[in-house]
Amino acid sequence: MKYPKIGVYAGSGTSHSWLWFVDLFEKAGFCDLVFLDEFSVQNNDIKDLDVLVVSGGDTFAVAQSLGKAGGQHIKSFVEHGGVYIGSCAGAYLPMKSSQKPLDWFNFVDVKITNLSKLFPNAQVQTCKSCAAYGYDFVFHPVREAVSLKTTSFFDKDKSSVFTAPLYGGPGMKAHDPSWVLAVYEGFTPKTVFFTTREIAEKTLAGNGAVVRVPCKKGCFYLLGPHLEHPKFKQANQFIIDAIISETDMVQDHEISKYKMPKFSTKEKLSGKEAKELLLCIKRELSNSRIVAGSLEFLPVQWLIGQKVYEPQKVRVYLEAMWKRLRFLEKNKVLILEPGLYGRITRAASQITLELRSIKQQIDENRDSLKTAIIIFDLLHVLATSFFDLYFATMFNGLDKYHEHTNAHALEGTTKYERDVRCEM
Amino acid sequence: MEYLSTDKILVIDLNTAQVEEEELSEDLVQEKIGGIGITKYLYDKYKDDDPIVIGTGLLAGTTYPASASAQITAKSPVTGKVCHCPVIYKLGVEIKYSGFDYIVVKGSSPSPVYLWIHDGVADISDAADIWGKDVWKSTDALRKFVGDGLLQTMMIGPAGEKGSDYAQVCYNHWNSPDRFGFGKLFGARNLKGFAFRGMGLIEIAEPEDYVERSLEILKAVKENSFLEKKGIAQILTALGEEGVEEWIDPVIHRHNADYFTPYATNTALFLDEDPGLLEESKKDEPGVLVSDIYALLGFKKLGLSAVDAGRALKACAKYGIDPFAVADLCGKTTLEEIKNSFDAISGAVVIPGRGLFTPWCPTGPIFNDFALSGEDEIMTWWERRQAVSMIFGIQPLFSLMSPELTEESMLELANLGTGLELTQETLDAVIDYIFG
Repeated sequence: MKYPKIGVYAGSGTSHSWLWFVDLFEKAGFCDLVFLDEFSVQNNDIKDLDVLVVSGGDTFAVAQSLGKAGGQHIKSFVEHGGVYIGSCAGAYLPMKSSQKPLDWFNFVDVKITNLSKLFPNAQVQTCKSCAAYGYDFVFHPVREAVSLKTTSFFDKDKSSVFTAPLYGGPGMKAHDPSWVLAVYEGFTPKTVFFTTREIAEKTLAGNGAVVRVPCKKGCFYLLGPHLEHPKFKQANQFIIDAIISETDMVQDHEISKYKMPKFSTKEKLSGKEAKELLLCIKRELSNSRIVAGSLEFLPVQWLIGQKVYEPQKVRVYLEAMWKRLRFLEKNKVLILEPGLYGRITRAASQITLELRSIKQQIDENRDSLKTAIIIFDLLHVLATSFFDLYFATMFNGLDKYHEHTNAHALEGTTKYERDVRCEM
Repeated sequence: MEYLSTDKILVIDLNTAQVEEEELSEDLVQEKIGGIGITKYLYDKYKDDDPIVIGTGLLAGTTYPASASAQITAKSPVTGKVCHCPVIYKLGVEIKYSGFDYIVVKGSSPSPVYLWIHDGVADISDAADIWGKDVWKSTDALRKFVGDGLLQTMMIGPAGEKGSDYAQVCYNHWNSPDRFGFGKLFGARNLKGFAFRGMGLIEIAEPEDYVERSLEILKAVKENSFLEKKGIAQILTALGEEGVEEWIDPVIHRHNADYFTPYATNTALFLDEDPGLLEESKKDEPGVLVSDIYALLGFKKLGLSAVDAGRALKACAKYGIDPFAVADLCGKTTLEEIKNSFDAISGAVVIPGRGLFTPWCPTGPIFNDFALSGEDEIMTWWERRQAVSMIFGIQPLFSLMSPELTEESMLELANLGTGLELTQETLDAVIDYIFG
């Protein structure tokens, strides 16, 4: 089995949806994951990746954070054989645009179908129904599960229909219709309409929901809906199939692929030290979960950039880490990069303090936006650091497994990683 | 222990600030079942350290009716006996959800501390900011600090810090069933108390059967006509006390039930606002929650109005003193005199039977007669019923009301829940062990 090295962008501007990709890749056995922020993209740390994932969030904030240099590195990465997967905001990002700073990312000739020059006349006007896009507006005719239908790209003989949730992602018109892998087919009983059904159909039906744009040796995958959402298994499989297909397809990829990661620069932590680190993480995650749970009772939202954040989103980050703690606790050895220990413990305890602080601010009817920004930034820092620890530790287990078995016998199964993980 | 359990026993040494965890073995559950069967075992195991042991009943926090209770087991500084005090409200269940089935506290801290137990983590925290504060202020301060109004506390007030024989360990803002002076025990160890919060889950061996049987039992319980009643005044009426309902009705605000308990055994009195208020209260807590029926009755018998009785109970809760002892022993007849008497009370509260269980619980059946007759038979039944309730974690007042909550059904559910084979003989042996 060849393991694609996947970079997940979790830097400024992203929302929590990158965590869904983590779940998806872990379940599929793609455990060679790297978590990136804007600085690592600007430093071109993406050049050794096979796949780069940019998930949902605030497109303008993501573009601003990555900057011109980040854009150039992404373009170069794809041209040299990398696969870019952009979901929602990550899909808007590389489309051609004259808007600043999106014009640093004019990589694919795909147009947004849910763009309007006039402020849309929504049936349900919520902060999630529309966002400014320069002088225009990106409007969202529907939300929640929509129905998608595949085209003949992967299978000439038949198309399949599946559902995926749309949370502000684009409808797309590709310059070359053959780029479209799936179209919006229709709506589901769970679809929530922000406009009339007629406008929603006109905006989405038959237009691209998943688009693959070739770019020299690599390609861009643009996903309008969140196919990575954990409750949509068929949509999840679509992404996995695409990655397997692409990494097999790109034969002369210049990047050295499928190496097991080396841990020569990483520290091994065991015994009392490992226990102390895990206890610290557990303590602070618990403290944070408790405050975050109580925040969910409060009528508060924060507008950060162009994105609305509810308190419930805090728990999504915390639970993503919490549910993986048990695996780490069962391990005798933890693997982490130099400096990671301090980064994790500092971020974890700071999040507890900031969450307690924001709870008091809200209780006392004080403005809490600045603290909310700090909290979501810290959550990104903590979550990416935690996942570095988690996947490095998991991969260490795989590495050990290789030392004791015939590596060739492991060919093929993604279940293999899961089995090893369960045993550790 | 995989099921109905967090699988963990926490051992805290206040002398050394060491926190250790032990596994709760299946063998121990098979032998001692749970609740006070195991807290007594742990007390004996660490007897040389004269520990305070907190434990949860085996069925606590599940769908078995009234599975609300945890327990404190310790040697009473007043009676010198190892006694068992039920932990009620929502606190009993929270202990299990916070990640530990049993907590053993040994030794004495050099400076005031409280124990913050959350999601399987135990922190010994500095109590300098709350030492000297009353129970209400301490609980409010901790809830504010932790950022969660649902935090459950077990705290002492000034009475415990000063070493009063009548000092209670209070639960959240309210008085508790503690008639053993456990508050004094906490204070002597510089232990202000516990704060619990957890989002844990409990696994059940046969979940579908467990829930199905629980609901069948609940359905049978609900056939009882007494479930049309609510609150403590109706309990006193059922026990033969006259005039309590008329006395208290004008100030009743609401009735509260403990976790999954079909009868509301607690009554909140509105003291500082009009009880007929039809808008949201402007005060955080305009009254007092009363669970101690004999304390309430005691203040009535002293001649206080219902409002003043409520104020006396509130003052007791804040001070962390047993309100029954105050009503029984203070010898005062006005609210102000009573409030000023807390530090001067003397005398003994009678603990019935073997002296193991709290007379906070009426010493006989409530609403139903359980086909009992004669004082001896009733006392024998009561002690066994208390023991069984506190082994399985059943709200101790409700267990005196509902004959449907049989030992057989508790054992059946324990077996469905754990996958073990606990028998009547096991239960009898555990009760014998508890009775010593």
